[in-house]
Amino acid sequence: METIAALATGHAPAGVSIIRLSGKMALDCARKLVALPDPMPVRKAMLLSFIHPISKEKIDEGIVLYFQAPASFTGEDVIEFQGHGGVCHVQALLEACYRAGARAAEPGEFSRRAVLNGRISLERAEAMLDIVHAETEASLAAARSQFFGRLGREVEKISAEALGLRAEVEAWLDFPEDIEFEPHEVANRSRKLARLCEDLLQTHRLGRVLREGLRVVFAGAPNAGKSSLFNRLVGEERAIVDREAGTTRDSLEMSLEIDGIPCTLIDTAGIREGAGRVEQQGIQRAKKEIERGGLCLWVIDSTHPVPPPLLEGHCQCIEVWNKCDQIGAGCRDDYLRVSALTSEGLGALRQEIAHRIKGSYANSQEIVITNRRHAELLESAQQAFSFAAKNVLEAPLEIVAYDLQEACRSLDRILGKGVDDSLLDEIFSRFCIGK
Amino acid sequence: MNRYDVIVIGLGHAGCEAALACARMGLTVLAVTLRKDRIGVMSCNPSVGGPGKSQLVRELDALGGEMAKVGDITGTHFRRLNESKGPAVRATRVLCDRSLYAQEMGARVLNQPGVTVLEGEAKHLLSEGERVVGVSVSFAEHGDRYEICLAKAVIVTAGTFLKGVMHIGDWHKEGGRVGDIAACGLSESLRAVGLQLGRFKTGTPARLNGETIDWNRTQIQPGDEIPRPLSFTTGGRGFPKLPQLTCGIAYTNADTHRVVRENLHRSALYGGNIVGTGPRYCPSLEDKVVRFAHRERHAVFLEPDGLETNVVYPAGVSTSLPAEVQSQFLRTIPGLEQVDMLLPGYAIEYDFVLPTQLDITLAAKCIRGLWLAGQVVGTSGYEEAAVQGFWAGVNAACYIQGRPSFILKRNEALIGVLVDDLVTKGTDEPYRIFTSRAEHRLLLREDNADLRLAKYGYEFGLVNFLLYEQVEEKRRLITQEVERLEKTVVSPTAATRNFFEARGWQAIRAPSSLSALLRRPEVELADLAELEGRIYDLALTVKDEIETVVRYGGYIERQEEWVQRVQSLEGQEIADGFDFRSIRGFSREIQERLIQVRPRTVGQAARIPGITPAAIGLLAVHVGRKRR
Repeated sequence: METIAALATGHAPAGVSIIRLSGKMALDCARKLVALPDPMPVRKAMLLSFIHPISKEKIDEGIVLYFQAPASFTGEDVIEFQGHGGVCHVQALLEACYRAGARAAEPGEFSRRAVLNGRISLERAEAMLDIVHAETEASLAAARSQFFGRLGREVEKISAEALGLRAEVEAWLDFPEDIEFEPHEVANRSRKLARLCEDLLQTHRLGRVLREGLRVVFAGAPNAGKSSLFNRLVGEERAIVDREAGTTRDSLEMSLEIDGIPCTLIDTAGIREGAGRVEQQGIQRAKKEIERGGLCLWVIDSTHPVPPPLLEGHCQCIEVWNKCDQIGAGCRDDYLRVSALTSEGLGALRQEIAHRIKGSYANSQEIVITNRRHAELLESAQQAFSFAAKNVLEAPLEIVAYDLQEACRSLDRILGKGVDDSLLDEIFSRFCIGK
Repeated sequence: MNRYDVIVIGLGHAGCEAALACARMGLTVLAVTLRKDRIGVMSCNPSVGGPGKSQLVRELDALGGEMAKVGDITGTHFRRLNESKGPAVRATRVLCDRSLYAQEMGARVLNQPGVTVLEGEAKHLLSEGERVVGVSVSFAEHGDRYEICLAKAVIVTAGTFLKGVMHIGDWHKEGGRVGDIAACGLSESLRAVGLQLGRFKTGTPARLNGETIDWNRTQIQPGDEIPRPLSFTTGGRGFPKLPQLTCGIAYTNADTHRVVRENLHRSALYGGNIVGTGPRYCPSLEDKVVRFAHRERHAVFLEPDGLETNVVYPAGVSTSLPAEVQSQFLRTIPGLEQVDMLLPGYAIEYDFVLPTQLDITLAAKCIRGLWLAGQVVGTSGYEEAAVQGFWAGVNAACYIQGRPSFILKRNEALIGVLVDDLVTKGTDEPYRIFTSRAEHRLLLREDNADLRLAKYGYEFGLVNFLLYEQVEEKRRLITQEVERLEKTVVSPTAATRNFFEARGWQAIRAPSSLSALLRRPEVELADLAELEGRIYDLALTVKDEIETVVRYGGYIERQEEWVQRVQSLEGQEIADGFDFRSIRGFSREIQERLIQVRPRTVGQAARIPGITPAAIGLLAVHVGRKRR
């Protein structure tokens, strides 16, 4: 079985966090982050430095513990890192583990391995699987609402509607001579379902932003004025600005609050080599931040405009036309015009940032998706619905049916209805991750 | 006293395939039928195939079954459905000459070395301890005379004949089909060995005199210009063998519906005379009028019964209204104003064996040596029956010959889906196949049935070496060509630009492989041939498959990945005699279902209705720990 890693304690930030690695390669993975003695003593706490395997930066310092198979919680080789519980530490250490060859543990995967390796008795397994008992006692509904609450009901709604749509498409395939069929209607309904998924997903991003802060990266061609703008924004807010405590990065990362959202501003201006490479690095950085759910400010020199690159995925990119003071009325009205020099437009920029983050999910704040797996499944459902909407107009209908099937399957897995190999995963996923 | 390896009871579509498969696997077979002249009769519509069904028929063909071959020889109208909706739902339907079909199938069974056909009624199963050992056959024309026939395996393929009762209005009569008596003894005998029976109903429309139809007032529907056969073995100059016929489409109207509504109380279905459950996907006209009251019209497909007959089958208006009402509503339909009804439609009720009592080979779990297949276990349709007959036949033969069971997985064949559904989920209405029942539909195309299954047919000696080699050659050609298309790169030259622009397509801007081009919806293999300036010397079926493999590559891969994931549950076998009672935490209902179905794998258990994911989790833990 693959080696897995996850946070074993509660959500960061916390005083101390334990990250657990389990699997055959646990020790090998650990050696990539920590200089472990050889042979590694079993069940002995050692104070060591955690080093990022690629950047070689020091991430943290803490205790490393080794449990040798089968005498461990999971019955496999287990390594525990006990470190500081800051969000950045935990994230950095987990990422370092993934780089070292472990993969993120599915929710409840440690417990499952413990059961399969006979480390937990059957009685205990049954107690853990209290959902089974709930069913037999007809209190399933209550148990479910505890697990899913409103999210479950929302997904249930989407799932029911999707099932209806799927049934219609299937009927058209199975009874070609009896049914009338309107592809544009199917496209519209698929799009609507995709949007419903997207709305729920937004709450996931919002939840994360509120918890972990929004990362705002300044990118753009050289001399667009990124650094001045960065300084201007930070300077204006100096009263509540502070360097992020304990950050290992340099001073180009600053924290401030914009309209109640904790933000980390990241300037990519430090790199000053050949123009081509600057841009490349800016793009890479922006892409990475956007992948992490961040926001890209593409700063454009109004006197020498360079358009933003195409960014894939859920691109959150704001074009900022800087140096507007130098071209007077020559800049289009619908652009976000700012001047780092005169501070013109900074208010509008802050508003736009807040709007991008909050605006789209202002209505759905009641349901916040906290489970990463739920978010991933919703995302795949959303994608499948979008494919269906597109394919219904250009691909054979059986492909549309396939897309809808995939979408339904993802939704069913959130609801724990999936009848497939991942059933075990489903059940165990109802435990908190890393437990 | 006669001794055989296998006794097959009933020679309908299931029985014929069962008898032929067993005999061809080297066994001696006694086939008992009520009437020798009615072997392989199409009791309802005169066609084979259609969505889902043609996949079954072509799979059966690839395995060495007979239905597709007989359909091709006796076909009078070939039509492809769902042509534009994709290769996995594309379907072939063949209208057959009803009497020639039965003749042809009958001849194949009667002439098959190893098969002895006995005319009589199989009344009782003979058992010895926990094993069925034979059948007693009685002969109506000889009073009490009966014959004891012994065998190592008995396959019951009795169709709708078990306690069959036909209804027309308030008239009813025992019988398995118009003109045929019902089988009354066998139901009790099946109960006696411990099987539980249920009651289903189904219906059939009237038969019309084609000479009294005004065809000009119907929408004429010819067969396909280039007919495609059902069987992989059919082809070349001799096909199609028979002259081709056209069908007509007519429509019911408000008058028709009024007549039906006014007489609803006289319908056997609505008058309360019938207790059995009918199929929702094949509703009677009464059902259509009541349940779909908003529909202004329903199509009636007028299908000629054959070349030498004037009988026409009006698909879509099955009914159990009194004969005079049937005639009355038919005559409200444009084109049928003067129609003469030759036989009224009727509903039929019959006993069936609840299929969850069978294991995955279609053998009864309560006693050894007994297999059941076809309508008698709750399915509907010739094709569904035929594939089960084959499945049961091959498995009975494997049992006798001491070979491992023959089981096709759900991702291998639609037949596998059908059998697994039946024995795992059971059915509340006569079970019909749909492509949507397959979770891996894109893999189960009618065009690749030979590539998927011919190897098994060959293994059992049901597909000859030559044919098997042809399939393997086809596979080689496809692989080779798909690879070549992947490797061959076209550059954006003036010549290629002209080629694209002449067709109104967007020209390529960067070098592109031929397979990338083929993935464009507008591009076909023939276009690539022209672009390359060469002739693709490949059979049509090979070209089709290449197009599918290239275009669907990504989707097929994803389905296969899914199959791999599902395999992990499928791979967790549950030992014979596993005690489901030993697991604490199951509700009573879940425990009972598991005990009834006795799933062979955790995957199969997961498909039992009402079994929750949590229960599967618990089961998997127990099964896993037991093994450890």
